[in-house]
Amino acid sequence: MNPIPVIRATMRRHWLLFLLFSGIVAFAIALGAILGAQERGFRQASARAADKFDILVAAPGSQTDVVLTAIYLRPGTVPLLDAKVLGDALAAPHVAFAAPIAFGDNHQGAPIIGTLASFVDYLSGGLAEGSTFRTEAEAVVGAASPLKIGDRFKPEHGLEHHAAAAEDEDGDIHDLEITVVGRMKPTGTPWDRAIAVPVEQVWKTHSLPNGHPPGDERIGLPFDPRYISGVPVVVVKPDSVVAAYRLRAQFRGQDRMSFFPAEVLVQIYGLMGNVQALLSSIVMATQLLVLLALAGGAFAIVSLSRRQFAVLRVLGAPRGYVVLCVWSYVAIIIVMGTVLGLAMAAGLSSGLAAALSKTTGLAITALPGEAEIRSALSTALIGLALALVPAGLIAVQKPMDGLN
Amino acid sequence: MQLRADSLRITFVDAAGARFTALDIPRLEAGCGDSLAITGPSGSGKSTLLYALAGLVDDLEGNVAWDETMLMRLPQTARDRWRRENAGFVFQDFHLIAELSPIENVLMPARFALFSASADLKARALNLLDELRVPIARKLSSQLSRGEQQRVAIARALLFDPPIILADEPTASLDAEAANDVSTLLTELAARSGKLVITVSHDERLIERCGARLALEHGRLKQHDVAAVL
Repeated sequence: MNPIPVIRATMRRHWLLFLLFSGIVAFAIALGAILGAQERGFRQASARAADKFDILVAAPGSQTDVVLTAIYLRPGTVPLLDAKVLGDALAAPHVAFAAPIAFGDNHQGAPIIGTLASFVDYLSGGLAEGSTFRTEAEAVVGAASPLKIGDRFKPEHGLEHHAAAAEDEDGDIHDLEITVVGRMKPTGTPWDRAIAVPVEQVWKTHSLPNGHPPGDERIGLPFDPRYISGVPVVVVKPDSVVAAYRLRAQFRGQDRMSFFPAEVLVQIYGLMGNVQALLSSIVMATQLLVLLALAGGAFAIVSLSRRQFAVLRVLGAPRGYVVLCVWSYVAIIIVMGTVLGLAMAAGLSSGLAAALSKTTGLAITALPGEAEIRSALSTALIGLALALVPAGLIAVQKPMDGLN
Repeated sequence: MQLRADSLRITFVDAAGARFTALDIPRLEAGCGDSLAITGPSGSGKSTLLYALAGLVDDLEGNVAWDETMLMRLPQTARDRWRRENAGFVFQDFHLIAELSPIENVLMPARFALFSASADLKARALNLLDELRVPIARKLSSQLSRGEQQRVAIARALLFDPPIILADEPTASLDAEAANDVSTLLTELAARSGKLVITVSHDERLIERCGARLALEHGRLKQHDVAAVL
């Protein structure tokens, strides 16, 4: 049997409907694939961003807030840890390193983070250019920061950009001019847009002891325990997996909490998973409706050619030939729509991921993967099965009825 | 090939529940080389009889025997195959696929069983078109005149050189010249090629050329004028 001439003729006769149906199927397939790819891309990027934050120690409160603030640099209300905790973390055994993370200021909306030069180096894996900060008035910018080496700026109070005064209502000093001396390598995290400064600078700007005796202009470790101030978060890197669990337990108490960011991410992903499952169900339902509409539409299109099929039956075509013609016609629409839909998803996913990356600061790469292709193929297979319905309905038509 | 039909009867129940007889032919015989015209007013059952003889009417009572083949006793698929191999059809409106070329239309019955027509079959299709004076260079059948389209339909009917030609008003939508051409072609198929040609027609010029005439009225035989029809 060769249905190709009949299919070709039907496609030519109803070419606009053919393109319309292929487009609708493509849109439905693309919708599902884009949703899946974006969700997976966001999940992977957010997990990757948390990789270097082994253990977070913070004042008791919302762990989610701490993760969002310290790793994803979202504005939040994380209370200050007791200064003693930072001292304890820096001195604890089996700690590869501990680093304070202090917020409070921004420049043109880019958060200014007070920390240690060693943590910046660890996070970035070495600097892309310039050198690390050696004085309170120096900064290292993230890879995506518009600031260049040698640029000078004054920090603004708060985590979001306002027309800030040099001295805020708390009497904090914000007239210190900071010079950019280095740039981090891309990390694929919101830290790429941040400005890292010595933690001493943040403490001093907010009128707090800066970790060193008055008059001592040094920055970095060791801090003098008598002059250490509180910070919102301390990142602790253990020297072994066993030590990680021990340290997490060690830094839990009434005035502190300690956790692996992954614990919070698992909860967030669980919630995202539920939402994603709901959205996937809606998309799947939409795709099935499209396929049902396609089956109905195909029946309508082919019914326009019912006399042609009746003639073929009179000329000796078996019912199987008519089934093959109609089914193949619908199958071509579905296969074309599926391929086109996946191609659309590949094209649009990159654009959407870029837009999402701009919003979140996460390096999101989203392309339809095996899961999306498998889902699209499943939908297509259901469509191919549904296509048997119009094919069967046309084939059982009596030739005499078709001719009349 | 010899046709023998007995006690052909088709009845319907109308909307009011009354039984209605659409066809009632006690006996019909015809053989190779015969040309038989079925005539009668519209609604007299002419086309129904033609399609019944081809095994296309499921509600048919009685027997249609072509040689030893009892057509209505064959399963649907076997009837389809029998029709494809033994009967060529010609319709009033040609029923070509307008988007296909003349040669593709002629080869269409071959597509029902084969993926690709053999070189011999393609050569035969081209010869038929040539003999019937169809301009094969035309890409689409819709670009042909009505007379040419009917000649393509006749070539399609002759592709497998079937012993039977069944035509339903083959000249009704043609001008006088084209109708004359088609009438000549069909009657010559019986006279020269020994085929059994059965045609439904209102066209007196075609009817007169046929060797036998079967006139129907209300599904019943009104007159027959040759020995082939009993």
